[in-house]
Amino acid sequence: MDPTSFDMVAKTKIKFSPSWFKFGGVVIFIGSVLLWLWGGARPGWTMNEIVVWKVDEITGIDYPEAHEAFLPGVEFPALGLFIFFGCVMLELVLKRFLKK
Amino acid sequence: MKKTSILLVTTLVLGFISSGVAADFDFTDPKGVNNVAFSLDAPLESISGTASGISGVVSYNPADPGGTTGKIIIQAASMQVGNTKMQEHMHSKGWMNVEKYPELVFEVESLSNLQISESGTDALAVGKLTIKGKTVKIQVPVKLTYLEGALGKRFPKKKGDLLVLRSEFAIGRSQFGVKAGEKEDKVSDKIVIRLSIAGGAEK
Repeated sequence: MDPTSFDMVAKTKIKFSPSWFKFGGVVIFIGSVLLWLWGGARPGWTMNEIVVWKVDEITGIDYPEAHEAFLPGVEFPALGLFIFFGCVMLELVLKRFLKK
Repeated sequence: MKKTSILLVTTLVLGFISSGVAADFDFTDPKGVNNVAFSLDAPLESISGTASGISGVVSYNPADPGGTTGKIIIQAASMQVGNTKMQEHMHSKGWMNVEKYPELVFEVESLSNLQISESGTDALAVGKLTIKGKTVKIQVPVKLTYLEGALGKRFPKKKGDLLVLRSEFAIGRSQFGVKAGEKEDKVSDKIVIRLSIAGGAEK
């Protein structure tokens, strides 16, 4: 690799912007919604166990078999939205602070 | 006179044999198949769960299903839902208080409206349901399926019969003083219960 490219990377200064918080909030919110959708977009709370129903051959009884699982509930997009608003507020506060 | 006496005794003996004797079916299930499923559908939240800690004895005579009596006991602590926190709340003092009231009991006193078919006997079970220490007299539809000689299929070392009992009915939690009138937007008052259990009687 050309040694000058290392210098370029070293010299590049990333300028901090309060908008990063808003961007981060959007990413967290979208991530939380995607996680909720991946879990089946259920309206209930997060589940750590799922039940699979089986049939007993002799009696014909339906019986539950519990399995450990992670199914994200509505608290995930709700928390994501809460974090997003928090980030937006932080961005506004920082913008005001930097103006001064 | 002698002939009449012999005829009378024979008739009585035959009558006794044909009517059969009620057998006690034990509903304790080491295989863990017996279960009670419950569901609550409130405007803001639907809850469903199961209970598997079931025991009890039902006295059943296939020749006289109407005379069925018995008691089914469910361990309150065996009630579970898919969310650990929700389960803790359900077992807590405010809701089911499983420490103080460890058992839910359904006592069958009699069966009425019997409809006997090839698949089993449909009837209305009249009995008492005790939840959280409060007993309420109820009538619930039940289906009894008698499987003669089937106990060995379930437990190879045993000989006897199986009795499968199914029932689906609804109760109100307010009837049993479980936070009556509270939080009905999230925890429905109406609880749909589905009972699917099998008991065995050794011969």
